Amino acid sequence: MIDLSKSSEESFSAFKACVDHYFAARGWKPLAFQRETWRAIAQGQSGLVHAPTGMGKTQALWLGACMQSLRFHKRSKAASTLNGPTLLWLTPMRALASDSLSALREPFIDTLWASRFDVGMRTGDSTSAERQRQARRWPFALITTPESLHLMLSRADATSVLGRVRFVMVDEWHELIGSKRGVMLQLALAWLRQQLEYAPQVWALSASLGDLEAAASALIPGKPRMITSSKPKSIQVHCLLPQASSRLAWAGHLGLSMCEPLAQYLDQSKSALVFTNTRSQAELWYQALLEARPQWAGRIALHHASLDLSVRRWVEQALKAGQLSLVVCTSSLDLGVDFSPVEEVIQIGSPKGVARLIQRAGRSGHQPGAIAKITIVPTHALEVVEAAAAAKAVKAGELESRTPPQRPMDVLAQFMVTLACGPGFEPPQLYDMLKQTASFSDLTQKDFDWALLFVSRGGESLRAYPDHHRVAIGEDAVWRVQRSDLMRRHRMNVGTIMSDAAVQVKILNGSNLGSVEESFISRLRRGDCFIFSGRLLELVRFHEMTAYVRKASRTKAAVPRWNGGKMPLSSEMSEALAACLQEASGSSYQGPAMRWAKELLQWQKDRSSLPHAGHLLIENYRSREGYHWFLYPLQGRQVHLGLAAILGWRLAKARPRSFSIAVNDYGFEMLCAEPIEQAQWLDPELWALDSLTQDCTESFNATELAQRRFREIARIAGLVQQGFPSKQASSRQLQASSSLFWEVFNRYDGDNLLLEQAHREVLNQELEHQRLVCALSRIGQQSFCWQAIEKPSPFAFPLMLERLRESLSNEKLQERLARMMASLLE
Amino acid sequence: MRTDPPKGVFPLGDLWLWPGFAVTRPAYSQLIVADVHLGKAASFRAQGVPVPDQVTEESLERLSGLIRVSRSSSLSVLGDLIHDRKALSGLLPIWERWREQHPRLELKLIVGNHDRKAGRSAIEKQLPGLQVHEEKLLDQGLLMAHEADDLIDVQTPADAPADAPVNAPVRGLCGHEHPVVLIPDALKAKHIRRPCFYLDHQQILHLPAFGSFTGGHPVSLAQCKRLFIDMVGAVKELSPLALDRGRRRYR
Repeated sequence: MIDLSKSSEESFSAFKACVDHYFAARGWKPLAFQRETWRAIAQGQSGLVHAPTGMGKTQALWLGACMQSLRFHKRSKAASTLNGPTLLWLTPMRALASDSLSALREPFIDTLWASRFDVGMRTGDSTSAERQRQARRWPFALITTPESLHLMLSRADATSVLGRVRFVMVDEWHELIGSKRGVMLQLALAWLRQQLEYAPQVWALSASLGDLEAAASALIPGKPRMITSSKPKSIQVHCLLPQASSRLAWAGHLGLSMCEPLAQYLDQSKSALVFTNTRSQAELWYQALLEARPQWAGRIALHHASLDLSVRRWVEQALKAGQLSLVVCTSSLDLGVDFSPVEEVIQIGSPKGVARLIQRAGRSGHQPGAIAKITIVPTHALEVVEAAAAAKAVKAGELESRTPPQRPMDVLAQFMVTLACGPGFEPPQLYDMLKQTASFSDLTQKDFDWALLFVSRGGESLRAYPDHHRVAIGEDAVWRVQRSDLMRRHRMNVGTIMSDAAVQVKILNGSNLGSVEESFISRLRRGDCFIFSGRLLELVRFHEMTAYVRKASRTKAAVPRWNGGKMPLSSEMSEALAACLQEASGSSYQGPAMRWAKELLQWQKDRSSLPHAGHLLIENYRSREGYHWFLYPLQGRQVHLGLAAILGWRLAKARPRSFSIAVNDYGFEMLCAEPIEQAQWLDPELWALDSLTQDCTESFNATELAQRRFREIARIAGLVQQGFPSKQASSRQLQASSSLFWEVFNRYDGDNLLLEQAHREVLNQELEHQRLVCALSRIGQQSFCWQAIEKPSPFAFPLMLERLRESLSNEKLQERLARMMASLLE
Repeated sequence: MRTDPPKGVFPLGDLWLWPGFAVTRPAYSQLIVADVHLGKAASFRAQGVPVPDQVTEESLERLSGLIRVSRSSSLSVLGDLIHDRKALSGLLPIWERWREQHPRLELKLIVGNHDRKAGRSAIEKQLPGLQVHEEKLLDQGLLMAHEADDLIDVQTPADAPADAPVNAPVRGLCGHEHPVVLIPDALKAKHIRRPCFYLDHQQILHLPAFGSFTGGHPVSLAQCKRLFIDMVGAVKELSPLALDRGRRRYR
């Protein structure tokens, strides 16, 4: 135990009394895991706290850190001359920052400790006045995002401002770990560790995550302390079944036919959250529910990330205050935010992952020990089976784990420039530092040197240009950015979130409603209508990144189609799904959902056969469009895309062919203009595991996947500038699309590691290479079930309707163009 | 002078449309291109964005190839020869090396918006041997401009040379738009984007951008009277109607 002087002993016990009072006033007692966390922090440890939402992780870490800071406040007099925050509280979303702010302030309201442990906030939403105020006197704790932290690193005073940091708390780490934002965090932490006299204590907070140890060690080197709350919440998963008479569509994702049954279901409930998977779906369901129950107007609201901050804030407050009884939302309400609990949590469509389902279910019964309940509303018939599988998977309790991206060179390049804008860096130290991080532990000196060349001279194969030097070495051997215009531009582009330029949506002479992607607005013409923010709006004009709208009276509407939203089925969910179908193929239908689906599955059996874990079903079908093959490995859309790309590549090795590929979570369709023999499909060579990686990589030369991936990489590495409304005119000369860079690099700078990274990302993330290997080896043990079908089967039908298709072709561009031209002239 | 168009070249009246984004007038041994954007890579690098420099040299090499194979004695650029002022600074040595290859080539530039920003006098100083014209030019009976708008109200004057073909299908040439078309694939796969020439309803022929590191804008089919697509190695005509039908059919 640390030896405390008398005065700090006194303040220490005063603080303890304050904490006791805080708990007692609410009728709570510190839980075992909270006390364990306090002890661990007192021992100077770092680690991960894993507990369901609402169990009090925040207070466990926050109060523990405050207590600990009282201990070493005395010890390090030297540090107190520095002005800077002692604790950094990292939050994955800026929308969460203000909730964290009130959560951290809560224990000390009206106590003397409020000024001792004051809390500030610094995110993209902070005004420059706030920033300046902070710079004069930093709060004890600073709530910030990975992006804002990097911006602080890009300032010349980074070393002194961050020099006093003793604690870094990472909230909702599961949201960040698998992304490049998580890598940004790893890098910032590694920098802090290298700079600071005392390594800061780092703690991650997480709910719903598999493989906790791996998650913790991605953030904390050495042996992180693992603390888990003992009481897992029990979760019930239901499926809202349509009445037998009204049949659900075989395909689609909106599922509005279930609106009336859902409205009936919610009639009795006092408060409910309705989760959708995309923002456009949220808009539509909000409209549909209002139409079904006009009397709900005023008690029902919409919440998604595109809405204006003030609107979102209002909805959150109103929900907390019990003024709203129903909120239709997207993952924007997944995280943090300690609501008073809602009675019902509804999930529209399949949740696609066990962790997400549990996270969302956690929104109900939000007290320690209460039962969480979630109801899945299927949007098409096969989703009833998926709901049954979800219930099974939750029971099994296997959660998805997430792994940090490996060697993202774009993030590294950005980080190098960030440091060079701020305190600068010396390559040997930087390299050592990178080797300590999870994402760059296998970075070779050669790759590091390449990144250094990329930010200084533009890359290895470029000749030394006098006109290009983003980062240059100074006389003191420190690498820095010299030009202030380059610094300014870099700071505007710090971050790894890819978004289309955002256009403000504003009512004529009225309020801001939120923002939509430019690509959507630019497709609309004056007078076109769209649904946004729960209203039908008409575009009046579009001027300087603002879309002026008025309320529309017309009935015709175009719905915003936002990016993203298509999550693949996780491997835990696919396992459960395959198992459910296997039971069904043995005519065992367990649970109400499976019994409901019996009719449909029987239909599939009659027309073809049921795909399941025991065999690989291949259906073939001839139509006007050409020859269709449907394969159902039940492995999730990304793995299917990978399988299709490999099979297509191998099938076309003998002679050039073009395929069009459609994928969903159950299987994929390959469409070809000419027939392919059955024997060719059944050839074991086609399914071989050897040369898998090579075939994958080669097949991508034919697909455009890597090029698409490169868009994000080019943005992060600073090749393509993020559009900024105010800066637009001046940066227009610098606009070039990532596809131009892709082309030019491929032609003149083939060894560019950013190109290699694009291929690697496709392999590991887009096609989930690991799962692909598993899928192929499983297929190797399965038998093939070959079915020639006359009409598309219930499983084939959604694939035929799929509009988003990939092309796979090893025809030369010329040949392909000639074929396309010929078909146009038919 | 060549008398019949080589393989892949599309004859349109007295104009030949070449794959590789150029037009020639064999009767006058004239090569015409638009939107070369020389030095765009250099101006990116000056802003700290790395782009390989070979882009500019490659554009000039492609020009040389076209000059040789079409046996042209003059080159007209319909604007945007230079990307911006920053691009101009390092260009002189490359330009002089290129000029030495074509000592007798007559060179005309109609000033485009990018050239204007870079500064006409700067261009004349940095790129010797270039005749610079403002806005539009009547060259051997054919109107030329950077932007189509500059040609809208211009009538072909009566003093056109006697040997100019009567009722020529093309009244004038312009660039500026960087037109491309999106060609749909019957296999429901992703469309392909290709640079194109198009004739608008005022009989103005729009040229695709010549430069390598330049993007493109999809043309609106409503503006096209006739459409000529660069199909890699050949220019082929495709009626806007057939393309529109295809887009609906294969969408």
